[in-house]
Amino acid sequence: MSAAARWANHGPVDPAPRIVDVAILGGGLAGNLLARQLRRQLPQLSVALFERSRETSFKVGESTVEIASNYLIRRLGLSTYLYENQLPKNGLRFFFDTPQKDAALVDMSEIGSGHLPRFPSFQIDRQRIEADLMRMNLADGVQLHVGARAHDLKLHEQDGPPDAQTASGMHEFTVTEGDARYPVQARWLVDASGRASAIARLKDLRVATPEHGIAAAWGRFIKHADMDDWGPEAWRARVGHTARTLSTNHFCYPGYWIWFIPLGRGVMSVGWVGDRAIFRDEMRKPEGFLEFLRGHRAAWDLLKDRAELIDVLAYKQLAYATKQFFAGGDRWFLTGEAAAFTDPFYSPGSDFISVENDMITDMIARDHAGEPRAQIAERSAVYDEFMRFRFQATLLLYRDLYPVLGSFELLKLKWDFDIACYYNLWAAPFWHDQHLDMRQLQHDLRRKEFVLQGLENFSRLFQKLEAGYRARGLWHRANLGRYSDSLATVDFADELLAPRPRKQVMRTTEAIFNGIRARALDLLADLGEAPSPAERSLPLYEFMLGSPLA
Amino acid sequence: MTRAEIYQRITGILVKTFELDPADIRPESRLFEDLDLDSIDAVDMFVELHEVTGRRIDPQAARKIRTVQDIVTLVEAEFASAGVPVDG
Repeated sequence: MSAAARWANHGPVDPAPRIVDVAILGGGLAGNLLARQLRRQLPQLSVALFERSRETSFKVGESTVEIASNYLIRRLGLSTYLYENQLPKNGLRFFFDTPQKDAALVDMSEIGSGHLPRFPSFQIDRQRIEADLMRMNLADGVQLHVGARAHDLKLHEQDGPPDAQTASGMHEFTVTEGDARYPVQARWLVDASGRASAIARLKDLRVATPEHGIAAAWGRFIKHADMDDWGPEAWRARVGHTARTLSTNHFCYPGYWIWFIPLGRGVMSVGWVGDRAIFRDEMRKPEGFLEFLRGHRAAWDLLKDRAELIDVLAYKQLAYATKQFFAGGDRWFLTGEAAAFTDPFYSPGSDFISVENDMITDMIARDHAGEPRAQIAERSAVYDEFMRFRFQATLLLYRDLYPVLGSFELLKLKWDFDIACYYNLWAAPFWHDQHLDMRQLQHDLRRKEFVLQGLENFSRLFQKLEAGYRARGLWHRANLGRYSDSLATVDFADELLAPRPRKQVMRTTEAIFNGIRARALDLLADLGEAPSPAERSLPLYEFMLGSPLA
Repeated sequence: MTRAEIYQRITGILVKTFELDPADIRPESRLFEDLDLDSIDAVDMFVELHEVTGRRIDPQAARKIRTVQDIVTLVEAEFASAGVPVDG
């Protein structure tokens, strides 16, 4: 029996109507974390969670990064739980191959750190953490309904037409649990039910993202080889004998990448993410997935001797957007994959959950404390616009850039840019709760177009370099034998421990932009291309207007 | 909108955004040297100008800005491109 099945009702279910303060649809990571947060921050509110499945299942999305980890530790008090029951993560690590995909692991160029990062993150076994969170939530007083299907949802929208209002003035839905059926009324409704989101369907919120056509297939292995007991001493000494296994290891190729993520207890998650055009339906099946991996020597070396594939899953289209994340005035919200998904390359999924859950909890708290509805609605609109901005900015990290991934020189430049921007612009503000500060958000949103233009400009610069490298046959030239410290450009980490004045953040941004652009100019010089503008240093605003960076 | 009104608007933005003394601002004032703005302030200024004109800032025109009058000229040009009449 799986862990979650123990929480399912095995006896007769009481068919009496339920009235709760907060109803959460979906008992995955997003829903369980939100239930925990609500119990901790608003213990006076009743919280009911409805999960359709009777058992937790194998899910992708095991790697957390620095926003999500901060949320789990600081907001949810899960530090001890995570260190005792999940794995500390050793950052992101990238390996590069030959055109023939025949490099041995120890010969591959590598981007990664030589020690555990100072800002913690974790590799989480989703199945295990979701079952554990259910157990904790049950103990904390969450009304847990496992094996309970919510349907016939009717939202109460105060300003909507009569058919968008319920007689009770609350959101209403029906739950089928075992043989019983009962109605539920909830003041606040949160949809955390993943891609199947009921609210997204009801409100027609889902937006396709054909501009980022990325597919994925993944599976769990046992009995794989140990990367940290592998290869010559010099290769292990190169990273100070740090545990490479604990990293999210990416094997990078033009147009796709393969992940190795340890889940603990001898299980390794291995996945493929790439352009839909190169996805093959055979990869949905164990034989096809193994056959694909077999074509990549380094990855296959870790699996071929004894490893056993336990299961395999796939999605043909990963990314999608939403028209709306929150309706605070009408008391309904989306979190996690019920709202949107970008791309797993930098593991942003749980970061989105963290920001969304914080915002949802904040709006419910204010509403409960009696803040006027108009103010909640205004805050909700700002939070919503920020999330859509965040989504757009995240998608820009990946869109049109999959061709860059498999070249050490090109990804090193892009990675250094992305990780420095992540710490400076997204992670540190979250750590200091600036994502809940209306003034700060409104200020950020006024600059939204400029920030997106800056990211777009860098995306074009990376694409220009990639085209030049490809045209001159230089694409793979540094893919063997090199090593780069993955956090070398985050030399401002000490500054992030306290809130920084806005001007300091922007100065750091200017320094990051100029540092990366100067390195790009050197690579362009290698290609024999003269940049325009030719200056090595530009004022920040020039990065954010609509002209090319080189 | 008249040129004088545009000048007033720009002066107002400079005073409010960068806490400048209105008496220090003249058409020929150089933004960096005389008014002590820097490259970071320039981002804020372009955000404000974007909101005034409702248009994307022309990068070529932005590069040429040195003085307060240059900003006024840029805004006039943006209004003209958008078909908004600017009177003397």
